[in-house]
Amino acid sequence: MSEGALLRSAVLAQTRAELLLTMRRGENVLITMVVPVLLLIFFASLGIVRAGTARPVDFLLPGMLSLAVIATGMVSLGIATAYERYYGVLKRLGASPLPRAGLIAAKALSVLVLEVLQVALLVVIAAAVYGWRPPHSAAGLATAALALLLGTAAFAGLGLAMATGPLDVLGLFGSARAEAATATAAAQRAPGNGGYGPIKSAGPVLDLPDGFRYIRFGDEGFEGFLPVRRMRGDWWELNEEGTMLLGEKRGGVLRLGDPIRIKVDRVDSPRGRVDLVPAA
Amino acid sequence: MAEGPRGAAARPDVVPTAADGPAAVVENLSKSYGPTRAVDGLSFTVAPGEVFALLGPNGAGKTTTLEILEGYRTPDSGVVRVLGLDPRRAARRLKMRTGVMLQQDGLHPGLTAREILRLYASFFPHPADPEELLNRVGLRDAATTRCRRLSGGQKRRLALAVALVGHPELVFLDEPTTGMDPQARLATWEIVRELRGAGTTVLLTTHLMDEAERLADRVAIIHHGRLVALDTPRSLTRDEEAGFVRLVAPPGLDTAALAALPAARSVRETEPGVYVLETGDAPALLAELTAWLRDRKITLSELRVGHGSLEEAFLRLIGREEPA
Repeated sequence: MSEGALLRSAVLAQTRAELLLTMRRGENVLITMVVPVLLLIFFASLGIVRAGTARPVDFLLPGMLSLAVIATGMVSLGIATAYERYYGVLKRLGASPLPRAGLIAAKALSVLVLEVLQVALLVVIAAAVYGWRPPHSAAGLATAALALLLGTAAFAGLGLAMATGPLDVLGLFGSARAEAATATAAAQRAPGNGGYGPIKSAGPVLDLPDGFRYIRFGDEGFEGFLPVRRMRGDWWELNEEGTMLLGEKRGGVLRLGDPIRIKVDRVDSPRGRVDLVPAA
Repeated sequence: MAEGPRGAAARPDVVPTAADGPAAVVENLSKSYGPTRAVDGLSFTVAPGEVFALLGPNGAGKTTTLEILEGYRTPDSGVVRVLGLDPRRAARRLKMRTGVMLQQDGLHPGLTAREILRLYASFFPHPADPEELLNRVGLRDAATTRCRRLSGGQKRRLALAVALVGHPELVFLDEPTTGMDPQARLATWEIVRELRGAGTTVLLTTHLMDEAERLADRVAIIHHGRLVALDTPRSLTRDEEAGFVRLVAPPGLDTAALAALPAARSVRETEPGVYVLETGDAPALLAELTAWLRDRKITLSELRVGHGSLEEAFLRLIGREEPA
């Protein structure tokens, strides 16, 4: 197999996987297929939209097509890709011979396939139920196609940027990271200054409203909290199984049972709480 | 040309010849993250066809080294070569010839084991048969299960299968058996031995002594990003002058009574049910020990005599550097 043929078949296989995943995620089907159709039917049937055109459908269909493009390109693609990043799927694909451009091409292709389906669905409903007719001029059709393509490129780019790129700071799709960790631990010594204790077990995931993450350390009679946000040097994330913290930027790993140097920061006697900070 | 003398990718089991040169070279490698030196002047060479283990405590720099070899990270200084190529510049060519198992499995939770293997198989010109691989890693019954429903150990095994699907010449395994149950761990070790038998080079990281000891041809012990020792497991453990008897029995045995056996110098229960007795006279200790166990009707599930395990060597080498 030539290199080009191999690349093509790799991109097609990846596209197929992307489409399979989209169809398996109920919320994706809902937002890309069901919502635009329902909105079209709802507003076209009630006739509460006064658009200044002869029939509401002439105003509604282009709007619903735009909504479909935004839903597929930005929301669906963005959320899916953010999760793939969270699960390390993107990193793993990075070690495979599928090039980055191949992955992006596969994502773009899957978005286009979905949009063809959406456009067909919306146009058929608009034409069959509400008597919508396509424009007679080729220029009109060409403009519509161009607008769809430009819109797709813009919103898919925005979705990918939100999932992986500079816009991630908005935390729009960051729900997957809102998980917080508690890990109970038995310290080898009392958590005095410079105490040295291994994490022994992980508690349930705890989602604190203020977004702080805690690891709990303890010894017989001693328990303290080490907020993960106080851990320096990286952005630490709990792995799926809740057994280790992964440093996202620098690749550090902190497992259950790993020793970590801690220092008592504050003792809150009335509440019986000990705050810990990492020792230098 | 990219295929080299092994071009017979249709016969991926061909053993690389000596003319291939080293499978991986790391020369004076350094990498810092801010003020932390993760890797500090590290050098080693991996010969083709060998199983090479990077052993060290967490944070020793094992994963950083591996990820530089995999092309994920760029070194601050030093030279790395994988199959004679620069991992950053020849990335795509190398990805065709290497297999990678990361610490995080990176498997899509919404796809089944079979779908993931088939997907990755489509990236390679002469992939392994996904069904055969699923059998090999013991996932045939879970082939149609979506990854989010697989256990941690099953995911690990699938990640191993994904690493092998392209018939790689060199496989990077980062903590391959972490999260596996003992049975899956043994099966994974068997696969690594098969790989070596087929001439595949394996570079793995582990913090498990017995994994390195039983699996690796050579072990590099790394601590604070520096090479502490590099040798065969046998040579690394030769320096331990005292003999050891290691036994696996029910947890909670009376270690004081064991230590009182005439030939025993010391006793430690290293983990529940695992006892390590230090002795100057192993045969005498064995006789006393078995008699002691028989008198108490204690069942023995494992017994090993040795001149110190890799664990003792490791603690001796690492302990030297630990600031109290």
